[in-house]
Amino acid sequence: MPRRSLYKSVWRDISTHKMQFLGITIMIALGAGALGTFIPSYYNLSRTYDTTYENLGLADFRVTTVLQTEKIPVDKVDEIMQDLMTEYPIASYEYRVVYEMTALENTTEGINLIAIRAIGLNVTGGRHPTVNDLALFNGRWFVDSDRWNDSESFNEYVALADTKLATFHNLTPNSRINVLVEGDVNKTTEVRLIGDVGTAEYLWLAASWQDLMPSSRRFGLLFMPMSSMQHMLSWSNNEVNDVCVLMEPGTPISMRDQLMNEMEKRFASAGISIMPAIPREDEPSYAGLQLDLEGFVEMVVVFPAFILMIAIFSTYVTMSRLVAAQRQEVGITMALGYSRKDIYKKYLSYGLIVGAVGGIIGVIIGEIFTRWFINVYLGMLVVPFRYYGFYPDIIALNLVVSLTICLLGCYIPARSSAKLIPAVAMRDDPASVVMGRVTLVERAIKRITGYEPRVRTKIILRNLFRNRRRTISTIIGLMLSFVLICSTAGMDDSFGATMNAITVREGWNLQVQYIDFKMGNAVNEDINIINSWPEVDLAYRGITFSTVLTSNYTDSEIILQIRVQDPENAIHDFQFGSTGGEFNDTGIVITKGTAKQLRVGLGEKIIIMHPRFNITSLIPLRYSFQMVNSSVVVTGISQETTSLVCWMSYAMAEQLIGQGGLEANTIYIKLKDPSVDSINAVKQKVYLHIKSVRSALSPADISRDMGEYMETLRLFLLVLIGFSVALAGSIVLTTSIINVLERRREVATILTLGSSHRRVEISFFAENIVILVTAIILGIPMSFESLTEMAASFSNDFLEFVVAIGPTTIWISIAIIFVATVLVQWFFVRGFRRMDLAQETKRRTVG
Amino acid sequence: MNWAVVTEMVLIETRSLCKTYQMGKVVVHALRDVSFQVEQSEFVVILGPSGSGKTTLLNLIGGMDIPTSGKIIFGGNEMTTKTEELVEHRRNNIGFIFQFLNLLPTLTAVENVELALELTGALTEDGKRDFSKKAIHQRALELMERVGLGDRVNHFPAELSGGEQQRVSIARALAKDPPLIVGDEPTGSLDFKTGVEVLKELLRLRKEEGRSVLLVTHNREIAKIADTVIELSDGRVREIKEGERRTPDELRW
Repeated sequence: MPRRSLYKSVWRDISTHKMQFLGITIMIALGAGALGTFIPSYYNLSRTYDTTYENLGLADFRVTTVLQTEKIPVDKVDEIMQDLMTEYPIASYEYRVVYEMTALENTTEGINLIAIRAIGLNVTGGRHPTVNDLALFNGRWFVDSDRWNDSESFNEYVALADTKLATFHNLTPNSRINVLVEGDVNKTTEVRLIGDVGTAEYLWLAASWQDLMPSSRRFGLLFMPMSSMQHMLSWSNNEVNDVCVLMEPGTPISMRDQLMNEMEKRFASAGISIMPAIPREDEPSYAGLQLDLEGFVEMVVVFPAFILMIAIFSTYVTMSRLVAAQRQEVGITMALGYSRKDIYKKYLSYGLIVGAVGGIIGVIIGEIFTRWFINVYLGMLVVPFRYYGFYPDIIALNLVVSLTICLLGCYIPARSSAKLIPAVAMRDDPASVVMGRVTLVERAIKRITGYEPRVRTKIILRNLFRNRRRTISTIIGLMLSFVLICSTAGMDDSFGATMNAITVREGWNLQVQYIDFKMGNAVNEDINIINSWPEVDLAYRGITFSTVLTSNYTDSEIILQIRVQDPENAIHDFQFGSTGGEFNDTGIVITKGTAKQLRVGLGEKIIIMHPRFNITSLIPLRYSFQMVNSSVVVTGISQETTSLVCWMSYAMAEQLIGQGGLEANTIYIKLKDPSVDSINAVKQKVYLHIKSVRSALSPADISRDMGEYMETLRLFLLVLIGFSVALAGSIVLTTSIINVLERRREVATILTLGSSHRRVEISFFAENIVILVTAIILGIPMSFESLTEMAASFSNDFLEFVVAIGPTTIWISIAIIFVATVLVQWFFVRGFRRMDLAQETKRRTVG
Repeated sequence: MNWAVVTEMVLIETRSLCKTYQMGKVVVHALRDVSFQVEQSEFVVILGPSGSGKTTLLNLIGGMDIPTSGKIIFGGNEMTTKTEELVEHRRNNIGFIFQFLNLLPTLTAVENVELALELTGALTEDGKRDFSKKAIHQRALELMERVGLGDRVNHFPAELSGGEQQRVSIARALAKDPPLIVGDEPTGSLDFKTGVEVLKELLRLRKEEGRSVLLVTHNREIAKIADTVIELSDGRVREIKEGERRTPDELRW
């Protein structure tokens, strides 16, 4: 039976309390908007990556030589691969030349080196690679005349740059780059750009596992015709060092792994020294992006859930107050003959209306934000193929969630309204039955100081304790608002602290990395040169190389960077903390994150994969490398934030790699005066006087690089902060309105007695300041707790975020919440000036 | 305006008072050309059915609203429409007694009285105002004694009966020592017996303290205690007549 009159009042109530319902609607819209943004964004990102991988034929695995200078004969590759193609579902393969070099850049501060990974591709006849293809963004694709040939017409090297490098350094078609093939700044080779390209292989621009997040400021890719690359390196056109393989779609991973093993065996038996085959998931770019998506998944769930929980709470508070205010109306309605079910349904219908409106707005917000977020995020990554899908199932889910949330928020108030006894409800004027009490605070003040506050102060104190549920709900509302703002803004501080924690423990001021390992005394000669410079205090040798750690306690594999250093030089300030341990010649030091992943403790053994050096001929000197696994003892567990590194001593490394093995590929420099000027001066000298340098980085450079990488995370953070501020505003709006509206009769009475508006306003603000201060005091530790959860979702196998909220962030959060509260209250409290005192003093109200 | 100014025999004079409200597209004439006088120590009842304009009239005199046209002369001075001056008027000249009592539930009986005293200060014997906490508290206790609630001072409103609450309300109205006490249906929410007690208290204020009382009611029986009855109908003064000056005990309603 329709109850039109009953439901008519629902609309009128919503209209009367429009600001309160607006607040809840905004919250629902934000929650639904967050769901509608993050879930489709996740799907779109995931499908965009897959589309790009598919369209550009991302290799399923890759085989490469241990040293870049080692070569694989093309005819041998063809022979092995043609044979394997009869046994395995190989769709295609490409051989390439991949070579690390540098490019010289002249800046206002002097010269700068950009690490360049040059990749030579088979583009004969203008063909595109069938594996790891490129998508042209600007300029043109290669033509045959771009390839080196013996004819006199060939007079320049041409290349395509990756778009990130081109954008960062303002490189356009016909720009020229001077590359250092031999690592000597005095011997440069000019390369002309013909355009820029996007790549699936480097969708996430990662140089290596030890250099996961290089800035385009110092790392980039150049793609050249293979014959030109071979000519530039003085290789024959039968020599390559990298083979990429693409399997037929749907090939099981086990079969791919089997093929990888088989290839390793065939290459080894052909006398070709190669690294273990690198599957797609172990490529740093692919893995980095996957981890990014995994972090996103946690936020997809956590953040909207948080908003929607707040929405339930606010709906509950608002509806509770509405029901309390309408007791008499409920009583009359029931007395007229409406059933409890009618009343129950009436109050649930508020939830349905708000949920539907909020859900629809949320869906619209989600659509807008998803488009914006995907465009900006993928724009930063430079993704050639974008996927943007329409997800009706998510829209439906969003609406169902919004309605459910609102119905949950209305459930208890609706049930309590239906339980009212008509006679009691009609008789009661709740304001008159509010039991006053002398607060404990007052009694304590009086007992301790003998001071009895004035009545106007007592009103403030007693109002705080008068309706505890209201006060507590207001405090919780404001606290949640504060926590939201403070913890999301605190992520930025955490980024900074994390970056700082990575570099602060380093004792060096400049880290010089060679393009490749340097043999014999070459490194010592370089160290002697560097030590002779007046700015330098000491220069140390070091080795950094990628490795894979495993243990007997878990199937986890960790790819990380080993830093080989001399224990006596104390370049790194180890923090062993309560776990104890030391850095010595008998084992390896790992970080707590690595220990956790491998489930190992101090004194236990882990398995490390490393190169083994073999001298095959002394005159002339010939050597080879073989990747082997060895067991080493964990001598220390360091409290680092990153899991990307571990440390061992030179003695230990030589024991593993072999006597007379690698000298070093890194030099650490400690300066007498670690000022920016001094660092820059030494950096210039390194570039000018030390050969084969890939990069010279200060801790500040590394922090800046990470800062640039963090920009992608910051974008995400910006969205979160935007949602948080809007949500905080809605919470403040809803809770403040309730507080103001419920006190209109009292305020009218005090004004009628002759109190000035100003005095009433001050009293009101004083009361709310106490509530606000309480909320902030409780909110600060809660913010740290919330930030810990958020940081955990951003943390991954490589990096554990440090939880830090700076004083500035706390003050800014306080200022935002304070201004929001004061503004909302000012808006409503100013309404007291227009209040009809005669009418308001007769208002039946809740206490 | 302050206390010292009220020295005229005629405390209130209204001249051609009009009040209209705009209710959407409809103009409601709440008061039309209302003129009358209230002398000092006079007990006046404004009588009329619901919607006759009596509460509107009380609000204008009480300084809670401003007239559309016409004048109100209070203590010889014309009331202004300035907000701050109206606050002063309510604070210094008017003691309000509300239909729904309107005591602050979080304050004890004596604190409710002190609330009003903190606005004006306690009147001393030499006619000055003392704003000290001690003087305010002392004066509040005296007022509580005067309304017969000397033993209930520390009770909260919820612990008092309706009649006791209304007596606290009267004590609060007296706290400012105003020349005029106004009551909008002050017995409206009370039972007969309690209502009679409240009326006795109001009559005592007029007789013993010489205060003017302006009472709004729709109850013709209550109007019988007045010195003067102003009867309103449809926003106009229908009749101004001398009251019967009966005692509250003689009333039945």
